[in-house]
Amino acid sequence: MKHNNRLILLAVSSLCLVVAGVSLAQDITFDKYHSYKEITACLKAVQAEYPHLARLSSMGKSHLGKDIWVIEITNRKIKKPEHKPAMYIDGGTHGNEVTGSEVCLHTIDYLVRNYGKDERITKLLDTRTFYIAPSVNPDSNNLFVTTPIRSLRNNQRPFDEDNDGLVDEDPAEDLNGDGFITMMRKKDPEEGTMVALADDPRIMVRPNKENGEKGVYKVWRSEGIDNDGDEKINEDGRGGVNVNRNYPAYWQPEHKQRRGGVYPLSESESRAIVDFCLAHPNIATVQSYHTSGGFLYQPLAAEKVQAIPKEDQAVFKKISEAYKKATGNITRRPYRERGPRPGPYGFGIFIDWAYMHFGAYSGTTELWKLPDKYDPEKQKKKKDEKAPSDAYSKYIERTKAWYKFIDQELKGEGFVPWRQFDHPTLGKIEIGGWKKFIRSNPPPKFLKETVEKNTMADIAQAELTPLVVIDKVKVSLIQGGDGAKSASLKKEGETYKVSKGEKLANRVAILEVTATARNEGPVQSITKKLQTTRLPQRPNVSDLLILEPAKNVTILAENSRVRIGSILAKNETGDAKSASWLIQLTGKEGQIKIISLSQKGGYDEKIITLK
Amino acid sequence: MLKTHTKRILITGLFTVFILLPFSSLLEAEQQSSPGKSHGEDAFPINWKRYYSHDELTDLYRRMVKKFPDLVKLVSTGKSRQGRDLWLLEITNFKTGPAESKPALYIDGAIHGNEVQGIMCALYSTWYLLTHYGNDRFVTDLMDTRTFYIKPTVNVDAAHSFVTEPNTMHHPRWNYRPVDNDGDGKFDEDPEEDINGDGEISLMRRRNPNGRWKVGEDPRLLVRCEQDEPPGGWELLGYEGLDNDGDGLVNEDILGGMDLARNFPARWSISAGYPYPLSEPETRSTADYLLEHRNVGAIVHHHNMGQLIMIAAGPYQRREAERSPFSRIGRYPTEVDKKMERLRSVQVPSERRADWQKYVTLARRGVEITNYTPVPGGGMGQFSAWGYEHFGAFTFLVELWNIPADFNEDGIVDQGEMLRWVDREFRGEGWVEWKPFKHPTYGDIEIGGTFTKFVRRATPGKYLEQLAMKMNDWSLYIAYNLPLIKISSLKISPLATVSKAFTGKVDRQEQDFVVKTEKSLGKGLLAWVDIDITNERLLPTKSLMAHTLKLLPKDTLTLSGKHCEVLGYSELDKNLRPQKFQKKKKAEFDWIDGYETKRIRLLVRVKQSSPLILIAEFKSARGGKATKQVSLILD
Repeated sequence: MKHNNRLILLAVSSLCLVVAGVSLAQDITFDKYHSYKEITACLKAVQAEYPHLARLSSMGKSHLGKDIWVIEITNRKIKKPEHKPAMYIDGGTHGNEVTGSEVCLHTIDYLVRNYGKDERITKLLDTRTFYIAPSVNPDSNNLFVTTPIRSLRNNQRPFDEDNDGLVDEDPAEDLNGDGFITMMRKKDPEEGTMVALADDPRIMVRPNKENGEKGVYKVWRSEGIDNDGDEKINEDGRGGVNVNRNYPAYWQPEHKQRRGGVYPLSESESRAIVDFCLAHPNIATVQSYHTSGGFLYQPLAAEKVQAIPKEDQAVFKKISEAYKKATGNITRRPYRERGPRPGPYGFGIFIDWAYMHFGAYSGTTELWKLPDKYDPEKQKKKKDEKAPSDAYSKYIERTKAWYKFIDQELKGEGFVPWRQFDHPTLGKIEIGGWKKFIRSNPPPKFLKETVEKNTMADIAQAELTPLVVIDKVKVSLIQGGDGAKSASLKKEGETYKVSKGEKLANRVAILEVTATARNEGPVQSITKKLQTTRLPQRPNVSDLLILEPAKNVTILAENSRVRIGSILAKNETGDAKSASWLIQLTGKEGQIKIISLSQKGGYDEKIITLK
Repeated sequence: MLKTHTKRILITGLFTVFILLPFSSLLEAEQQSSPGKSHGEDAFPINWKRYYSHDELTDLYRRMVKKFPDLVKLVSTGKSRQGRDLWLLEITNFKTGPAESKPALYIDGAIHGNEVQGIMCALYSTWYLLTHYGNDRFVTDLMDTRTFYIKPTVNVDAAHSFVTEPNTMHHPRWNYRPVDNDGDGKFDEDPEEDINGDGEISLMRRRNPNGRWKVGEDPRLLVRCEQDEPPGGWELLGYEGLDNDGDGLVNEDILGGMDLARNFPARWSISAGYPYPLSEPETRSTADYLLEHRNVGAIVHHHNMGQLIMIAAGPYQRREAERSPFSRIGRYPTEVDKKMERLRSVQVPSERRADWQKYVTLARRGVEITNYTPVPGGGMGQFSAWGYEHFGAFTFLVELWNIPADFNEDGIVDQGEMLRWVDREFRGEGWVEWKPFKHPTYGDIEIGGTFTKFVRRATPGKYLEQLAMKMNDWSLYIAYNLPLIKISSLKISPLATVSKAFTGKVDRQEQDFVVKTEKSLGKGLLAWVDIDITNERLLPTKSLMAHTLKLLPKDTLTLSGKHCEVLGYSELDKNLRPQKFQKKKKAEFDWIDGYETKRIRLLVRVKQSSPLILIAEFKSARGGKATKQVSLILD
């Protein structure tokens, strides 16, 4: 697939721009990471250039008051956006995982530019809606892209990490003023826990305890001083709450889940997303981008996969196959069935909420991993060599592989060499280590490849949504009559006497109307989980078939709004459901409106004239 | 090595200041010591024999603030769904310190809109505290050392409607979040209404030869036929209302539908509190307020009905007691003993057992005062479960009121007994007679046949004061038992005076360790300072649950003075032996238990520059503050 990777954000009316004296022209390329300001400008420009496809709104404000943007993309000329099944995509939930923001931008770009050119995209935007939020933790995302600060996984709500009553009082800092916050190391044969590799002393690794090797270096994972004089370094940095532990599904307080917030949705960022989803129940599928690892996480994180009904597991499998086709990567489930620490991966996670409580098929792609070319295990498999069996050698090999990667691909640019520094409390130390955008986010050079693949995965996932339409409407005559007059009854003893009243119409007809709703989508219209979840003070979620009498029609039997439950996927038995009404047509011509209303499968209507 | 020169030390003028000293103005006020005399109630008369609308309550609160500006502040914690202020009253003697600096009791009511007597209980406590201040030694001490946060109405929209508009006794119970009760895609489109305009929403009945209801012994009552009984001639059509949306069904989608008492995160599930915890302004404002006021150590949460004291002490197991229930008490069991016995089979995990014992102690006084039944409680999504399990405060849910009409003492108040009681006590005000009505959907029907709402779920006005008074007595007892910390002793014992103190480090030279001076500090004294901290009440500064939750910072003890530096401290055990030395500038504690004394020995360096003042300060998020100071003269 060849397309140039530029968001041409000019195009609007150039006259307008000249008058305004400001140029919106931004050739945004996917070889760098974008700040909040740039993302905002880009989204506004997309809206200006493609007003019929894109509409920008704010889901809410972040802790520091930045708008959390979401852009709606669909062809609004065919049905309202909320009347189509939708996919929700976001990036940057964890402040330091900004690759997702770039995938979102790229997907937006790809969709708007290919509408009307690419048949697949045209069809998709005619029948489905996208809601894309590139930066859902904008405070931390922006700090990560624009400053040297690194520990920005959480949001920017001040947090007392060391439980001393003070918040954010001891953050990391760039001590030697080289523009990077890296690591600190000091030779200390007594208390040291790490060693430098003999053949490459840049590399700090754990000692091989089995060989009796002992640590020689004390290593501090971040550069900084003891700001608050409590003899600990960098123990209470910036922020915050881990937004992706703050959702209501399986949420647990601090002693069971660290950093989940004081209560579910206590954070403006998570609450904005949930309120947005609840206001857009047409969202049928969800992708929330994280890094890194190079695979797709599917629910559940807090419980075994057996908690998902098998009907829904089948759909998840379809999504995972589509993902594999687009990216070549595998799918995992965060819940740890075995391993050293079996059990829940975490509580209060967004994809668990989206599936368990909101009824959307959800997933989190962990973007970026060490390219296969450098991956020691992949290489050995290729050469049919045996990979080292013990865990320690694997660990050393893997660590070295990353250094090989930066040396060859980035010409050593990814690493700040260790340099001497006089630390106020630690004395003579060395400062150095990894730069940002190597391990958890791809180096800018590798960004384009990552975003392109995942955009295709998004498109495939959006196609895996239900699509409920009115298939056919059948009208049959039960009885008709000409010269209709109203009738009244009079009881005389055991005899009833009918007398005619005023003229009603030239003709009446009693008709039976049967409407069928069909699912044109490849997945069932309501997840099995949502179908079987009991909800308080209301019945379970159901699709509806509605007959609205418009002109000269009254309903004689059946409710106007009929609950038809869920409709199975296309080409399965049960991919259509019907309802029928008995109606009376009084007069020569009447009109009814048939509506199919499916929360996740969309809205469809047909107006039928009866003569 | 440190060289020691002993010098004579003079410690003079030891004097103390308690920050929690009762406010001095009370000495001027007229203290009453006789239960037979007025305690200031006349200063703010309130009619305790009726209910109040939101507007009337707002007016009352504002007048209270005007009358008692030093004792109460009115705070709006947010707006309800219909835009009413969610009022909260902060009550303390503000002259003895800000509200947040004192241990606090939180009281609320009417989380269910139809449970309006909780409002009156909370209002009563407010009024009692304000009017009695300065007139009643007990209340005055409480107000000087404690804070009360009182949110009389949580579900303010529904409670306002319940008091002022025609309603059934069951509704409105929830808040006004629109809910599609019948799943037809429309919201709140078919509520109940008072169709005959008599001021009550009562039942509708229709004559029907095949109906399964019959006229009871008392002809006003409609009774369900037994399974094998022939038809009784009446059919019951439910509560009064119309088919507003023309779908053929009556009252199938009533107003609102979020049960606020299922909207808290503790043990929440989507089947209880859709769509998510704290989704409603009424509940979220409560949680937000408490999380900003973590000095709240105990909670009284009013509901009705059933006369229960529900102890929210987290998950538990039941194990039947093996021994005969009263073998231990050594006397004939009283009614209170018998009620408390119900708690004996409750098994709380060991890590929370000390909390449970404190709960039981507090609950026993509640049973003595109210004669209610104590039970373990705190269920799915309830505020009480949250108050303890996620906020770590000792939380009681009180189910107020029961109809006192069990004439035959079978434990059940049946309809006949109810009617007898209503006739006797309310003389025609308690019952809605059946009246004919022409219903657009049902045809000829009769409307009536219910007790009026203020005699059934809601406590009748004439009983309100005695109900509220008893609850208030118990609430004040709980407030009294919140921690009260005193620094009971502060002693200095010198180790050495030095002509030149210094800081430095220890270097290792092969087998030897050598002390090297880095910075010289001048003349000074090295001394131990022994401080005793005592909690003079039952409740600890932190419940075990609060400790587990890590919501609160540690309690701290600091010693400060212009020329004084703390080098570290040891805790003393009961034999006064110093435990492990902690190289910290302030002493830290997980909590101070009820009636516990902590003994701390601080190692201190004082720079020679006399005279100087040393201030010991204890600070606890839930236990309040205490200080003590001494002056020191170095020769």
